[in-house]
Amino acid sequence: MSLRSPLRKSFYQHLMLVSLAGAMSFPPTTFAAAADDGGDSSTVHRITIEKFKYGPSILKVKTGDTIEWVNKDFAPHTATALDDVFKTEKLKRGDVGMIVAGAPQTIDYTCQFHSNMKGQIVIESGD
Amino acid sequence: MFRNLIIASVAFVAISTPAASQENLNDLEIAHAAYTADLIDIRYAHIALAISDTPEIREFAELMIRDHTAVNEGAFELLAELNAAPQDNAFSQALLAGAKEKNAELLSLRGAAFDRAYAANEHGYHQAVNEIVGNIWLNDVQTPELKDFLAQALVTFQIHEGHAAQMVKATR
Repeated sequence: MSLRSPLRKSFYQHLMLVSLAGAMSFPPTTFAAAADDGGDSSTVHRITIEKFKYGPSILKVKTGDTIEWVNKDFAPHTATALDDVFKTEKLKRGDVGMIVAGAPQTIDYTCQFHSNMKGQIVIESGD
Repeated sequence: MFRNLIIASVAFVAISTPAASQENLNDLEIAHAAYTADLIDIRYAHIALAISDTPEIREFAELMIRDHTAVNEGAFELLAELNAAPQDNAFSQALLAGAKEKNAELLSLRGAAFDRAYAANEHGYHQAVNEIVGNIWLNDVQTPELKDFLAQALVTFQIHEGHAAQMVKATR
């Protein structure tokens, strides 16, 4: 997929890489509200990084949904797409990295620092 | 367990010296020794960055600095929460003495010889530390929060051990 392809461009337009590195993790009670900034029906999905694994390792979402990674390990991690379509900042323990899903596609990702960590985001149409 | 520990400690002789046993430490001494072990590996990594031009070695060294620094930051946070201070002890001192010798050895090497020695030391060091943490300290420690901390730290170190094993193969 070319960087200039419409799909990639569209994805970039919709992909808000909002890294909250440096911020503390959201308490569960504020989790849903934290990403609901437009009053729409999008869903927030949380992926926990713990013991050097993404949980869940495979996540299905819809276009417009928010995906958050929260790191519970001492070691810093990232969620970095293998094709560079997204990349969180370095997430220290308690940090949260966030993206909003764009065009339908399947994205494999890993940790920039620990390449044995594997995850996959499956983005389906929100229609 | 002891036989395994001795085998694992070949690359880091001071870790199993009888005069400074890793056993029978109190919780604050374990915290100090764990912190010291982290610092030692960070020091090894800085030596690697100073000497080696090999990308894989440098990447691993940067990983060690990043991860072990994070673990030690976690240790500090925990001790602050517990309002406790780590206690220096003979085992921590033995760790430092062993590291001093290893530092000198590593600093005397260059090129592929350094890469092989660094990789082998990282593998042996993590094996030895993981044996101690997993088979001794996690059984001995009394403070639940410290036990949880060590269990989490052990996961990190086990990942490092696996990574170091790959590095050993790559540098043969």
